[in-house]
Amino acid sequence: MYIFKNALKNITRSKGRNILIGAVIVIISATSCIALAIRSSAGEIVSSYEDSFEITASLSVDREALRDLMMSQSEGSRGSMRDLMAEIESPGMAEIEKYGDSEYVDHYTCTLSIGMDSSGLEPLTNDDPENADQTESGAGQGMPGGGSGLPIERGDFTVIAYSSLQAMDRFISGDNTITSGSMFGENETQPVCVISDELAAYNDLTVGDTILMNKPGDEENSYTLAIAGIYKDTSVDDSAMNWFSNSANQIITAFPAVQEIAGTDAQISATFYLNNINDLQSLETEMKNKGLNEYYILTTNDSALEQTLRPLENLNDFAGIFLLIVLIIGGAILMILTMINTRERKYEIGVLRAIGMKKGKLAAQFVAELLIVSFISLLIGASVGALASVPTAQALLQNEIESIQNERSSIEENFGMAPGAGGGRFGGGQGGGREIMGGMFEPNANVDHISRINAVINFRVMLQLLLIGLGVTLCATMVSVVLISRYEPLRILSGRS
Amino acid sequence: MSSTQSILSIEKVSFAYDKHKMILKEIDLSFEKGKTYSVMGRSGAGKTTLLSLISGLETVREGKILYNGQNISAIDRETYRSRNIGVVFQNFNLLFHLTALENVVLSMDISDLPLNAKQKKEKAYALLEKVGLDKEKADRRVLKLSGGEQQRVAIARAVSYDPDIVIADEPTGNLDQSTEKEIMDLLTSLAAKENKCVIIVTHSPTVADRTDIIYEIASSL
Ligand SMILES: Nc1ncnc2c1ncn2[C@@H]1O[C@H](COP(=O)(O)OP(=O)(O)OP(=O)(O)O)[C@@H](O)[C@H]1O
Ligand SMILES: [Mg+2]
Repeated sequence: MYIFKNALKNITRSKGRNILIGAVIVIISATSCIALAIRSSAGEIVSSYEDSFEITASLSVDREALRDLMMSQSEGSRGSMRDLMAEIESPGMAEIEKYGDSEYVDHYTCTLSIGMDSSGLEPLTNDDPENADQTESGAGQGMPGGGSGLPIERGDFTVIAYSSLQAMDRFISGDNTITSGSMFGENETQPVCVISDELAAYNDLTVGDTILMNKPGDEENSYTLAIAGIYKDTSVDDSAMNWFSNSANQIITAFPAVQEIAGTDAQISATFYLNNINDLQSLETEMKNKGLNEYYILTTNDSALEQTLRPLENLNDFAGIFLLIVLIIGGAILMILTMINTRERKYEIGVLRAIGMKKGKLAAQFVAELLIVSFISLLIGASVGALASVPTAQALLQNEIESIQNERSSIEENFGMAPGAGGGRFGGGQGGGREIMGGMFEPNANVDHISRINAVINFRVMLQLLLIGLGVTLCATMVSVVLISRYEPLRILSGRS
Repeated sequence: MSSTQSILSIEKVSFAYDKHKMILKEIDLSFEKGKTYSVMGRSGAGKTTLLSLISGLETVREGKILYNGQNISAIDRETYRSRNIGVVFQNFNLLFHLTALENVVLSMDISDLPLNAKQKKEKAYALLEKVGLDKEKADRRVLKLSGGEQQRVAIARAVSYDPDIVIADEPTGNLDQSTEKEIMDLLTSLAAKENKCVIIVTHSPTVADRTDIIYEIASSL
């Protein structure tokens, strides 16, 4: 007990020295606090973004492997890529269901599509060669991960069905909106359809009208679809008004209808929503074990996730390194100060030992002194850090957010999209993940950031700070303890006389 | 309750700081409670060294020192120093930044004297009063006390935890005649009234004359 009392007395007695030690600890703890806060907030944003980011995976033919296969074949027997692809059995509905039933898959959606002609319906065509090209090759556009590798069966129209409303990402993103009538329900069994306003206008169709579809080259069998709704593609630039959108000739219908019409002829495209980004490889292996052709690969949108998170993770790493440097330098300074302090008090140590104070108690007193000083300094440092970390973290994050935005614009530019034309446009193709990010990082969402960053000095940060403070202090006290245990009282005292 | 059995005995103790220069050679001495002893010898004869051995600050390597029949090499020497033996060092070894009172109380703290803080303080004031330091001086920092006053503080500290043995290394070295007498009165009364074994290292024959037994340390030079 007297040890603690003496420790307190000694602290107040040698104010200058303890203020110096305290100042070092205040600096260490304040900077550590900021670094920890940044790590915490960056980590929070990363994990919340990762949680909200839907990791989707889709199946496609591994063209590279196929090319290798082709090259490995002898010159004479070498078939064309197209032939090879045709040989590869694409997974049917039953397979997709089997693959989707996995612990790694949260849920999955499918798109069925088939090219069709119509006797009474005029397709929209663009005279512009560039656009026309797009329309043809992009028959399957809008299907996530479209292109199973099969040669596309041509037809004037693409009849397409989604396994669920969730799969209609263009409607979810708002690129497409129903302007008249409504979208049919998920469990629609009737042969109904939704068409674009362009097609409707061109053929003078309204909700309630019916259209007649047939497979290309098979005019005998025709199918009647009732128009339940008409949608507008809002993503079409006004400047491109003259041109029809890619999806103008797309007729959206219900799943059972396409299954009935197309049977096994339909192109199936499945999107698997993964629980965890790290499960991709496991899922692919599992699918192969379930019978997926070896030339199929599972690809994911995780590169977008990585690109988005990279700046934040950089900030996280930077804060970590900064923390480490502060701790090493601060710890070293503290150890030197403690060493000087202990050496200066050599005489006191000698006297106390000479009058019978045990090494352990003496060391405990020195440790107590430093612990008291560091605890007080830690509180001050944490308060300073807490105050400073909000603007600091905010400024740094703002920087990162800007760099994210720049990066996003440049990605959009890569896709030939106007920067800032709307994350939604890009998001449409990315399974909606970008949408969340769009909302999170757009400048007008700053309020959201502030509240996030305010929350960074949480219990965990305080605990970490306490542990760091304790660790650094204990390192410094070790110097004291070692010195005290090595001092021989008689040597010290006779040296004085 | 005077005891004739020796509280402290030194048996065939030899000591050298380095091998070539023996300081103490086969010393045999015996000390009893209730008596005063003076240890004399030339400067550099090894008197202080002997006291260091007795107080356990220096380790006995040849021969043995018994406290109450126990070899001090075998007991915890910190406890021994903080409870059984009180040392008035030649250079006092006080904590200068503390007051006289704090120095005395600290010693009581270290010896785990079964008194509360208030009692310790009262006892310390009484002790300092006894060695001639009033309350004002008791509350003064040791740094601001004269050499003679510091010496008194050292004595008060040495007896503060009621040790059986009090050893004093030239306690009257820097004092005038009348103060020397006062200090000697104090030390002899410790033996006479409190049955302590008092060992005084001195060069002064007048001091030695006032002790019961005089030991002479022969210079090995
Ligand atoms: N730590 C030490 N290392 C080496 N030699 C020492 C040490 N301490 C003392 N000596 C030597 O041992 C001898 C005895 O010293 P000591 O202090 O015991 O003498 P002393 O009898 O007390 O003398 P004085 O009357 O001057 O106080 C001296 O020659 C001294 O130089
Ligand atoms: Mg001496």
